[in-house]
Amino acid sequence: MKTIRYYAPIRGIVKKESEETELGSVKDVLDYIKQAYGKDAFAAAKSALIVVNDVSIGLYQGKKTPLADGDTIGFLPVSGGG
Amino acid sequence: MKTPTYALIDLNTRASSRYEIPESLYRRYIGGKTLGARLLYDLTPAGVDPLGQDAVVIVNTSPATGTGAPCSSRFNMTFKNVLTGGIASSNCGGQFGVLMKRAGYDGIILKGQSETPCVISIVDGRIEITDADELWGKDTEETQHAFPKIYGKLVIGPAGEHLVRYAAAVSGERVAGRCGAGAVLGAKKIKAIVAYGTKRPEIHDREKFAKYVDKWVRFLRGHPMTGESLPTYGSAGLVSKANATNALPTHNFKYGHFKDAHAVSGETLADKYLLRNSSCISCPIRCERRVEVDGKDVKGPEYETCGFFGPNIDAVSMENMIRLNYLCDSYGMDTISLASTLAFAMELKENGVADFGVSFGNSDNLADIVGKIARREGVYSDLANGSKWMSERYGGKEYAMHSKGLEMASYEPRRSVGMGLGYATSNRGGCHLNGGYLALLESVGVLSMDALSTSAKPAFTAFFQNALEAISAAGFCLFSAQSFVPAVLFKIGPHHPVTRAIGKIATHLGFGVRALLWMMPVLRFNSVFLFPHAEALRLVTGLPFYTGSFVRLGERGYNMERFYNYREGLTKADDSLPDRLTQTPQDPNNPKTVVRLDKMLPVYYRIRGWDKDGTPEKRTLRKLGVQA
Repeated sequence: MKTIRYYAPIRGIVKKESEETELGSVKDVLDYIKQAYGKDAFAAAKSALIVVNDVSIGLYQGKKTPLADGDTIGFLPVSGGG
Repeated sequence: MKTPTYALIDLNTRASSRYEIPESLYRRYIGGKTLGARLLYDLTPAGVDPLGQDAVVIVNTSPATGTGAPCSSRFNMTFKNVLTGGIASSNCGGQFGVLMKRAGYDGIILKGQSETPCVISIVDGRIEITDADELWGKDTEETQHAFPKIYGKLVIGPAGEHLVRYAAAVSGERVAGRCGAGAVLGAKKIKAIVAYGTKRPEIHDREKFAKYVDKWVRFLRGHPMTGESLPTYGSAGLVSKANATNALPTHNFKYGHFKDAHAVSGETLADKYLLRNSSCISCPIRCERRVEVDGKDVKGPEYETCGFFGPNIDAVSMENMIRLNYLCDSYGMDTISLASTLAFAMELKENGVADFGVSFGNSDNLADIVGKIARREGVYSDLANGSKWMSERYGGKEYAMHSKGLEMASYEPRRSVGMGLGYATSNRGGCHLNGGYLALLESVGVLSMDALSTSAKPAFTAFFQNALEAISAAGFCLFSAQSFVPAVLFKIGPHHPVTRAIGKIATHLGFGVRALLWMMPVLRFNSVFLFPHAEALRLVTGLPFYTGSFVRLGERGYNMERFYNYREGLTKADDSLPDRLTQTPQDPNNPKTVVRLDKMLPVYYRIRGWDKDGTPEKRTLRKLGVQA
């Protein structure tokens, strides 16, 4: 089992903070979001900072990054300032 | 032309007089930290003790302060840096700067030392210095409550009174945190400076300015960064971003990733503790968090505080973090320097060198210890001197995480090497903002230059150091510059091929940025998409500020600060980082995860027009009008 965590702005579209999934890759999760929640949610998910176990998929294999049991995929807002 | 009027206050005699800034100085340095650096250089001889009788403290505003332009309620403090011995500038939001200006003064220059605690009151142009024995010993909250609510206040707490080297000055709930701003006021026995007035600020072209402000506010509100991300999660939203790229200092900068970062992230802060947003005067961004802890409505921690009272000491308690943030404000202490010094002390204990009763993973006892540091009780007085002093006393220089003596901010430079160069060259010491803040382009923003490559980093660092310097000099919060990355990149996101390609191309644009720096004098345009501050400054002052001359203003200020440091004896050897960052790869399997200062510094000096020892060349100073 894997966990999907949503943050603003996608959370406002899918209306949930998290859910469980058995999908096998980041791309599968993106496809699922498109199918389950529509184009707006998909656009928000694609433009988010996508992390697997808190590490950017940019440091792994991008959208092809596989998901293993116990993994958490998060859709974080792209932020800045400090 | 209306030039700035300052008050010159002699604490020895408790007398004050008007000090008019000459027009030539105003045109070159404008205000805030750049004008402050010039004045400090001119008004003090070399080698003064920052806490001594001859030290001068400048508290000043900028042309934009209080005009109603976005994010323009800032004021600046310039003084000799208590931690580094070089230049110090500490910037603060809130009401004080606006009300000091409305009271009739663009700045104040503080000389001498009062024998007994005092309050400086500036009301409708009249300055009074009165005794403050009854306030001495009170925290910053109680002290501020002693004055009318409508007054702007700048006060110190027990830490400033006890000359904690990183004591802060507090205004409302905003803080001039860095470099010992509270200590220099405490050394002069100034408990509080209060201001009130109703004078309207000067604006050269009020009608055009009002229209431009409307346009700029709309732009900021429509931009994903300033209109959505910062209001939603505040600066604390960066915890997850830095963690995602291994750029989150963890365990005293030993690592860059914290497995429990979520517990102390901006997302958790927003989900579980946020009551509402708040803001400084005339700020459309509203990044401030109001949170609840122990039944009290308090200011929420910023990113740096989350990073340092969380991952950098391996602590996961958000409640403790909020309490510590509140306590630091009450005592008047910089959370960055304090928490970084605590992390250093924890590592001393881990290595069996010294035990101050603090250890990684435990923030439960820190509230008590923070109070002892603020009051310099017993052995905790050592911790009040900062990590550089501690490392000279106890050893461990290789993991005392400061540059020039000022503790670094919460960005791990081994995953953001341009930020490492920025820390090393920052005039006030290990500061991300004075350092050009390349972390935003390398590891925590939407764009991702190659964070491990030294290519182009010297040029980008010089450019952004100049730009941020100018924005600060003009009187704006640096968050107002967060909209310079085009909104479309936020819409397509950091993983989109176009965004990634731009990041890669930028990594090879060193020559382009160097050419841009050379072309500054001819860049006679202003754009709301790039530096709207330049156009606002032009409309406020009537001076010909355009993108090029605006960034050149920053370059002049940066060199002025560097020149001050040079006079005070800082050298190339001070453009350094601890060995942990330059010698030990963050990832043992990736030798590129170190900061190659040896590669970047010579290029940076050349771009700056400094000699191989990092000293500004005469022709550079002449070109910028710093020296005749």
